[in-house]
Amino acid sequence: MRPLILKCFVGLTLLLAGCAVSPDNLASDDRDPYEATNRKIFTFNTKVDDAVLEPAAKGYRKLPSMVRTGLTNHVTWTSHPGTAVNSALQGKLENAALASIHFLMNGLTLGFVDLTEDDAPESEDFGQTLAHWNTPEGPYIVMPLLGPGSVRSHAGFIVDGLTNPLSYLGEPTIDTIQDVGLPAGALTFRGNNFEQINDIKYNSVDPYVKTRSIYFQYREGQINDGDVSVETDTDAQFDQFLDGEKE
Amino acid sequence: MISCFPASRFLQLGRIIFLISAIALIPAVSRAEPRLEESLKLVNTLVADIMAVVESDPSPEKVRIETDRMIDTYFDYNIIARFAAGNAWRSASDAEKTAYMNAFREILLSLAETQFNYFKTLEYKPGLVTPKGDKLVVVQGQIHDTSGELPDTAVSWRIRTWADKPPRIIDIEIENISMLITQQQENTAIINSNGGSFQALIDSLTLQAREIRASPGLTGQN
Repeated sequence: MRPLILKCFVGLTLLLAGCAVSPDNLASDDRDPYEATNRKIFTFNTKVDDAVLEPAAKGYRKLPSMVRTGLTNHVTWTSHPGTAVNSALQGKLENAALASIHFLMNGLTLGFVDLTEDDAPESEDFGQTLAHWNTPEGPYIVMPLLGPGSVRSHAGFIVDGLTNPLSYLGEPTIDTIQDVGLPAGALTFRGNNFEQINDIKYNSVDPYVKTRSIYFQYREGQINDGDVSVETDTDAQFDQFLDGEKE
Repeated sequence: MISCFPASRFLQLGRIIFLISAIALIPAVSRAEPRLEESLKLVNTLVADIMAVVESDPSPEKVRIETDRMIDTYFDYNIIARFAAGNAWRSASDAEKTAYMNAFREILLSLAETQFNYFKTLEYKPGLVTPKGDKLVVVQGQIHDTSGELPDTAVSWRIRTWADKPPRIIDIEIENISMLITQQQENTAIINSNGGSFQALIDSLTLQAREIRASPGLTGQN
């Protein structure tokens, strides 16, 4: 039950963080009414990255390619049950079946080796399911350690943690996998996106704004499954600009 | 009745319907296709151009010169710079606009100079071409890293098309993240946090370009 306790703690932190802040006047984006508080948490997260994640990611990058691929595969494998459930909830039955097959087959190696030959399933989480059900996104909130997200995506993260079928197996090995899942996911994500994240950290004028912008666009792409024919906020901004342009 | 209308007749009828539909559709396709084809050709030519430069193992100075040429050949720098400036563009003076255009271009050139090595192991596979209204076309593709260091990455090129002049690229999206929107939001935040000063953006971009050029790449040594 340890993973459940961990996730309840995360959930409680989220709720407390949500209650502790009040709208402020610094907001530079309508979706980010708590910008002043978010910036403070972002600064804290950056310090944690300086002290822990970036050095750890540097070490991760020195590992042999095979080991890094194995770790990444394992982290992806642990997300397959959630993907299967959320795909089914969104009516994406083919993706649900694909995630289940990948989970079962790769389970023979605890996900470290990808035994499947077909394409990997599209990752789906409960935040995306809520978006599919037209649940409002809510304000942008930066969580300590967990990073950026909307209220909807953070809530989805908690629900994914509480409802992950792995949590209910009661196997000690699975409990251990669940315990290390979050830090392992953070490490592989930081290591696999090392240059991109360092680009934001060291080369952008305002890393907070850049992170927020990237979060919203990336999340929109995930929700739309990268379907370019869907009209997005980005399309709307270009249309608005070009409409005002002199021919 | 069915016996009087055998399967071969159904096939014949099907072919006729197909032919009529095809003829009816020809004007629509030919109206839509030129700008789609031109957009695809523009991106493919740019990629080929980049690859030719990569294969010539260029010095940083040559990368800078070639990037400068490519910006003018394939991109609409005027739209890009104005879009990235956000609403503040309208109230900026002519001198500020010129200084900003130069500073922003310097950032693009500095980034190309310091990051060009990343192209060495990359391959590009073209994908779908989708019209977006009557002014824009999105060309999709995929970047594959032959070294295996990076996962396959989706890339989209947003292209401005005109009836009377060749199309030009105005944005690149990596995994649905628009470079231009991201830059615009960052620029707007800088202007807002400096009491609406456009000069603050110019100073910030100038400093950023200097820092990029001084850094030994994006390896975290900064």
